Amino acid sequence: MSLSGTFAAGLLLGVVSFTLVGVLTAVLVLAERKVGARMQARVGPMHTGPHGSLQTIADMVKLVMKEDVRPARADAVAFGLGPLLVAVPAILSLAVIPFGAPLVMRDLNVGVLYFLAVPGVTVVGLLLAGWASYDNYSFLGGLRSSAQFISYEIPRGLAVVTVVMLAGSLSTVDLLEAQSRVPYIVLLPVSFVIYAVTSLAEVNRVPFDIPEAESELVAGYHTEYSGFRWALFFLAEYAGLFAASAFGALLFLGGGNGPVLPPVVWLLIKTGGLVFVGIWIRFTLPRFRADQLMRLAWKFFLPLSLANLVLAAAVMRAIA
Amino acid sequence: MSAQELLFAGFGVVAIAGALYSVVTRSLLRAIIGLGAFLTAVAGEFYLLAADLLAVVQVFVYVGGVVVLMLFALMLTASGARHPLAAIDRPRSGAVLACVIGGGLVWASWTVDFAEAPPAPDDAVGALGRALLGAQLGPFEVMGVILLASVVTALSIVRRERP
Repeated sequence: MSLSGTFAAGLLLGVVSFTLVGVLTAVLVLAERKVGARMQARVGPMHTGPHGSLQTIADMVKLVMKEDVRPARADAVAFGLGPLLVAVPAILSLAVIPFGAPLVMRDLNVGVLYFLAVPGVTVVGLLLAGWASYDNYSFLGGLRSSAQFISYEIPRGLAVVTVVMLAGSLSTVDLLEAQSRVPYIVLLPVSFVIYAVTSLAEVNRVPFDIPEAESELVAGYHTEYSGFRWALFFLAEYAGLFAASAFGALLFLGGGNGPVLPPVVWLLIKTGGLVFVGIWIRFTLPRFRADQLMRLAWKFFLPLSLANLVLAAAVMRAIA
Repeated sequence: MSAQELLFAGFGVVAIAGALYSVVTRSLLRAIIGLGAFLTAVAGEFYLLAADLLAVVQVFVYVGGVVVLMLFALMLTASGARHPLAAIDRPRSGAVLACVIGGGLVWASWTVDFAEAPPAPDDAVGALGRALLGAQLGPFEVMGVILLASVVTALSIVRRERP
């Protein structure tokens, strides 16, 4: 391919991915509002479009047209970089999810490690955003979220290691083949539970939304943001939720494996199921306190994931 | 020039610009941002050189670990990040030292004959893993103990100030 052709293709891919993530966010936000409303015996948005289905599109248009406000004493460079460094890794983490034969953007031979590493860059964005806002609520939110992310990253990684040990590969495509008969949730149930709970913490969702706890921190690290920059945080949250669910489906539920329907549909069904559980939890459980959150990570999940790792290795050794 | 070479050059420019920015700027926070840009660009170079694992580990350990740690430490200081750094004491000797080291590196990369790189083995990641948990297990574990010792030391120093 010629040089200009390569760059045109790259640019097109970028625009298409960003648009897809935008559409994804719109769908997920609507799903969250509708499901949440039903759980609280309400009906949710009803007026824009049939059954309110266009409500989030209208919200997005409004968001993009809003004024971009920056606090007078904010650090301009860090204030601008913050939301970008939060949104870009969240979108990039979608690149290694094998949606089915033609739709694997990149089959890295270290795909699983990539998925654990790239969202980690988000922490830099959160810290910068919180600090640059020149506001105590934002600052505390940024510190809390990075502390939380770093704490929960360890048990999460250890849970994923058991899957990698069993599959013997870090490639996402190989993971699918390894699970063609038995999905790993059957073989590694504890790992799945650890992954699911810590993933909720990684994407800052209830009951782990301490960083943006509205009752104590207004809106945490994005208190001072508005308009498109704020929309980027929103985009990142839902892209992160989707990516974590898709990866959960891939690691433990056999991803696109399934009868009759094409792999893409199976993966989306399984991912949708995990997203639904995430929404369900949000409208069911109250929020933790910051110290409870840390205690849960270091005194419960870390030992549990280590014991799980050793046990899994011992069993694998015994069988092999 | 192929697209890959152009990308390689682009990452190189970003890496050098980030490195320069991080030593030139007076704001400690922006210096860390520059360092982050430099490290990310180097990860891009690794990826283009077919060292996938190295690229991901670079992002994992340096951008997601070291840079975050530096930002965290900076933000826990009372107001260190908000004030510009004072000018350094001996700019001339520093500049001379930097020129000597930089010149040496340029000279070395100019004179060394870079032969055609051997193709990467198919299972490079597996081979690395086997090496780390096999023949090199001793040094690998010692690294872990050293890191643990440094963490414990840092904690004990911090605790002593506030009994």
